[in-house]
Amino acid sequence: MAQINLNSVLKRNSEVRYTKVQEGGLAVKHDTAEILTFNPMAIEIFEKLDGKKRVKDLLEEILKEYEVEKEEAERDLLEFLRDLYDKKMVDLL
Amino acid sequence: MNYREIVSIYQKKHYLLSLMLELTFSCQFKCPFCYNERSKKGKVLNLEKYGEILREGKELGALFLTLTGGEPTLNKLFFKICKIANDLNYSIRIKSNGYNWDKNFIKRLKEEVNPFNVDLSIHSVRKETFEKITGIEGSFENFMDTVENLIKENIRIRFKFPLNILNEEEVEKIFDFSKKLKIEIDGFAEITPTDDGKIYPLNYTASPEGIKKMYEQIYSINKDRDFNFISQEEIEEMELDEEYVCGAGVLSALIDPFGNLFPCVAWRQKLGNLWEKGLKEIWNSKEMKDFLKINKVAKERKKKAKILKDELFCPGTAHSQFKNPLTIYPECIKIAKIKRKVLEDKRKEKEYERKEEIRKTKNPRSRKN
Repeated sequence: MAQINLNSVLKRNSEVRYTKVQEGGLAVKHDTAEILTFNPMAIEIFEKLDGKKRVKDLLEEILKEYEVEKEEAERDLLEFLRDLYDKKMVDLL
Repeated sequence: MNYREIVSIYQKKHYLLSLMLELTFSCQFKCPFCYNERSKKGKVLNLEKYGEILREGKELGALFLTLTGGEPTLNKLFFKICKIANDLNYSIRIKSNGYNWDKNFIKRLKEEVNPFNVDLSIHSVRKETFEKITGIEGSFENFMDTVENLIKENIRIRFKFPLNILNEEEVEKIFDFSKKLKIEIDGFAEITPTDDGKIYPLNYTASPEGIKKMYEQIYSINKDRDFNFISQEEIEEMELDEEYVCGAGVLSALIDPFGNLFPCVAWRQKLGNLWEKGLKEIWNSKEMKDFLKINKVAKERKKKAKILKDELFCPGTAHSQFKNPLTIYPECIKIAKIKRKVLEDKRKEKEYERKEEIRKTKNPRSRKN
């Protein structure tokens, strides 16, 4: 399990290219030729992984933008980021 | 949401998934069957315009960008265009002859462009044939060096094999070469007229025997395919539902060096010019909507020709050859029949192997024979 917590800083892997539309997003990883799809909220978060913000900053932004319980949002966000990390879509700085 | 679902959304909402830029019509090679008509004239797109096109393409949803030509790397803006595309997060594919790509160029390509893959035209694995086709002495050794250096730099290659009357005797050797290097190969038998409709390239169409040999190789590769490779053609063609004959103008668009926008490289029905209108304006124009109707009718027309079920019918070829994209042209019927025969033979072969296996299992002694 990746050691990703609220203080972690993540950056999109340089092999990943992506795009987004209203209904979601699409990404391709050049080194493995994998394709990944995202729902609208997931692609918004993925786009914010620029290697500058901490996970807790992302969580704050999510709580401002969406009507979700903090605990639920935190759990889902960490799960999503760990999944991205396991798929080597993001690097942990 | 899975990939199929998102492609379906792209189709329904008419988002652009894949953009192709013909960066130049120039090419060092002189392949006699090439569709590329080099004498065309126009106002060449500049870097600023390419920037606008790529930004608008992204706003329309594009992920994939194919740079082609002519030979796209002959455009002096090549690396600058790639830089803009990478900054915008495009997944770049390059279609090239790979000529004169020395080690430094390939290193730069890896570092600055990092393309998803390079589609390299493979004409032969024999020097004489290769250079007879390209018309350039030394191009064979040059090609081999490029392949070697791309592999060293870990840049994914896919061979594009244009089967023709000059290389049809070498099909097996070409496929063996690709298998040995574990490089995906995509062969195509259909030679198309030139961009402006001249039909002389068709004189180089391979014989039915040559076409049969190529599809035998293709089907044998696909049987034990272990590549995890996304072909852009697969993305554009196979993921579409029953509505359209292909992804041209539905998910993808082609822009030539002068800013003319076409549905695809083969279907050269001009839908607008980027010097006059923006990409989004053309993509959502009446001309485009009218074009999409033709694409749908072409699908209906194809359905009626039963031999073409699951086979290629290119309205673009019909458009350039017969001035009518709905004409079911003889070449696609001929190729479809050959492919069907190859598949039928493969099926019989498998059936025979299966029966033999059952017979041997029932009577183990026969294994010794």
